[in-house]
Amino acid sequence: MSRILTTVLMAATLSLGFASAAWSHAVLLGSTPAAEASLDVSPKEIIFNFNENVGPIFIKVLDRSGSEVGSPGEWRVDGNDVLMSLNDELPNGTYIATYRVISADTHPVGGSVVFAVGEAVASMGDVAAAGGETSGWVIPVAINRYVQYGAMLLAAGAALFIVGMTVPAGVQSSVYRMGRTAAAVAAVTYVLALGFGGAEMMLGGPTAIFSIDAWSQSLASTLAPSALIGVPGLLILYFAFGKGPEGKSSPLLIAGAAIAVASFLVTGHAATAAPVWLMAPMVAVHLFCAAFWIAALYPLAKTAQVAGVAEAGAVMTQFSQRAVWTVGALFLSGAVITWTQVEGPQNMLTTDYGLRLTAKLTVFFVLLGLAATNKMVLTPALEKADGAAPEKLRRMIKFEYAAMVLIIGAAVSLTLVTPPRATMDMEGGMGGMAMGGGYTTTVTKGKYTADVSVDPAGTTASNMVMVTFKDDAGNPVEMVDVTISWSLPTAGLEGIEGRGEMVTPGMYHFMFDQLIIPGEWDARIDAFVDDFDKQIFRTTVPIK
Amino acid sequence: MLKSALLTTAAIGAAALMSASTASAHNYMTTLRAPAGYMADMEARAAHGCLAEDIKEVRIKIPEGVYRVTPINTREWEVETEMRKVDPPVPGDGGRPITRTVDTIIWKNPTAVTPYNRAEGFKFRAKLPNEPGKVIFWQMVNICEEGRDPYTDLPETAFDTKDPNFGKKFEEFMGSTAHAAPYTVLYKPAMPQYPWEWTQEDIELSGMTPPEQTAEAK
Ligand code: HEM
Ligand SMILES: [Cu+2]
Repeated sequence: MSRILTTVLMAATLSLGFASAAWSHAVLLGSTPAAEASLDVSPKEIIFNFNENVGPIFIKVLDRSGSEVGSPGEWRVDGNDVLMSLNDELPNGTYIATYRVISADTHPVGGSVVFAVGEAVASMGDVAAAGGETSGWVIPVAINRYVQYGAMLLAAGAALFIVGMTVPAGVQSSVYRMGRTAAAVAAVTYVLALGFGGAEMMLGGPTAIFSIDAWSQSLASTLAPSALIGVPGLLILYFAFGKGPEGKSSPLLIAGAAIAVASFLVTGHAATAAPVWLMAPMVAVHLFCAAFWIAALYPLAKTAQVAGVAEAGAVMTQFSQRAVWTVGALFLSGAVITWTQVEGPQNMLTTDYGLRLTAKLTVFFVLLGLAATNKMVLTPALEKADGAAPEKLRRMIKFEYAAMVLIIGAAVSLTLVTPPRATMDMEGGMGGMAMGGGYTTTVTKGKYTADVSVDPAGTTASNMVMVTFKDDAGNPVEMVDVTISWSLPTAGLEGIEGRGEMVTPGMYHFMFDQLIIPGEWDARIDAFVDDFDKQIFRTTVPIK
Repeated sequence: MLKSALLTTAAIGAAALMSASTASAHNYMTTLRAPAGYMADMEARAAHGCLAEDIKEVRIKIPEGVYRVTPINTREWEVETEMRKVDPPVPGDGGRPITRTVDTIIWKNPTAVTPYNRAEGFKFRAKLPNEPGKVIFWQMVNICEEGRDPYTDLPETAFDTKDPNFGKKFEEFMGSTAHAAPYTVLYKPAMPQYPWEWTQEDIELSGMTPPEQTAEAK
């Protein structure tokens, strides 16, 4: 009997062992301050909300030096929330709130949330905007950029059209009016871009656009020089269009258009890519040609409507001659930009950027088909004074409008994603070239290697991590799932986790905003080769 | 001999009962213990989604030594199996060799997803290895809209309840990861599964109160 009792006791002890270690998996659902929040005043309390009731081991708030701050009071547990009051005000700065909690059993889980007081969370810069977190502000940013691109191209193109084409007097004045309106609208969008862009960079809420932070963020970015160049250029155009056909000033129109186009060269992926001596002129050519084509549609349709068949024929013939060069240059410059940005035809279909470009090219070829019909069928018909031709031409131009609307959409959407070129730079550790720093290393596990780059490996910006997996033959390996978990043992920080997004086959992109304390951080990369086979790569990364 | 088998059974039974009663959030086996060598119904439980996402697919890898796997039908999920080669073949029942067996069971395209804060059972039938004392791990992954919630971690070396440090080692392993694969402890059954395989002693025993209840009553 006593033997049975002993056995049962033993079993009970053993089972406690099972139970205690086994099943806690508290998941953080939210926090106050929220992750990445930028607060105006110091928080009185830190709240973590979990999926289940947990017991805290500790909660602490660390500043950038890794010291504990805020003189924390007691914690309490309220349902699935864990709360800790702060007795001291936090001075302006960026902080990391970290926790370690246990379930009813004894299995601890840790994690961290970064927030800032009186400043934006660790400056995201262009890197984050290109590949990292986004806020609701991306939508206004995208819409505004769309209007900006369309209006700027229309304004600059109207100027080129006036200088380069001879059109009937009635059409002339409407080109001036179109240009003037477009210039005014475009100028406004440059200013809005500053506000929206700033709000997006600080990942702000709905009122972020009214905050000084948002504006100071965007004034520190390339949006500022862009507006500084673009707005005066557009004002010159506005003024030049305002003088009407009687006061036509070709130098002013050309200068305004050139300055407006130049404003695009200080931002964006393409014009600032190496080699700049080649890329900037290519983007400029691309924009001039696109502008001319876009701005020509309306006056051509108008000509077909108001002018006699013969006069319309003459205008179309003149335009056709110019268009051959324009379209050729547009395509060639586009091809050169594509060449440097996409790095390899396989990326056209495997990356987000490539797919968007493929969509743009598809519409481009449709547009080319429409333009060819105009040139080869309708222009000769006009020359032969075919009375039905003007109406047909106008109908074709309507389709061209639609195609242009799509192409500009595609061009704008390209500026919102990271081109393969930029991600390649990171992978090759050449990110340092662009960013001035960074850390790269290679970790081997069995037959797999992981090339890891962390950029800028610093505490003042979000860190972009690129990991590329290869097998023993050097071929890229696509994983089912890749996560990185960071810890900084010296500061008692852990559980900073992120899931990778594949950018090209075998290459994964991560953004981490929580590495705000300098030190030797441990990175643990869990890569699932298939559903069940996990390879763990460990390394230490110095964050300065 | 019989007595010690009974005692082990009782011990593991009590252990399993107690741990099963702990509220749990990880994936786990409802069949925390099972009779070695039996053809048994097993149930795995997906206990929460990936972070706060609902589960839309569940996959279980059938470990080495487990054969003749049949998913138990459900009208809520499409169930699929993937096969693997058994090389070298192992003798099956009736002496015919088994050359292929189920590698993975996949439950997918549910009529309704499993909400992230609810548990759901996934059942299958399997011939368990006749190795009392062994712990078998069923690697399992929950798949959600965006994320995946893997329970695939295995111990470095196999566990055996006969090891005097079994409990301690098991606890260490469970504490070392938040992604341990669900497990089943195989116990030595008091008697063979089917009555026609029973010995005279088994037959006598068969009329008695089940050993777990005996242990608990004391
Ligand atoms: C009617 C036809 C086209 C129009 C209206 C157009 C317009 C534009 C515009 C407005 C930009 C933005 C430049 C900037 O952000 O600074 C751009 C960029 C670009 N275009 Fe085009 N484009 C056209 C055809 C093409 C073609 C045919 C190609 C390829 C062969 C091409 C390839 C590119 C590339 C690679 C970029 C760089 C995008 C980036 O990374 O920001 N485009 N285009
Ligand atoms: Cu869990």
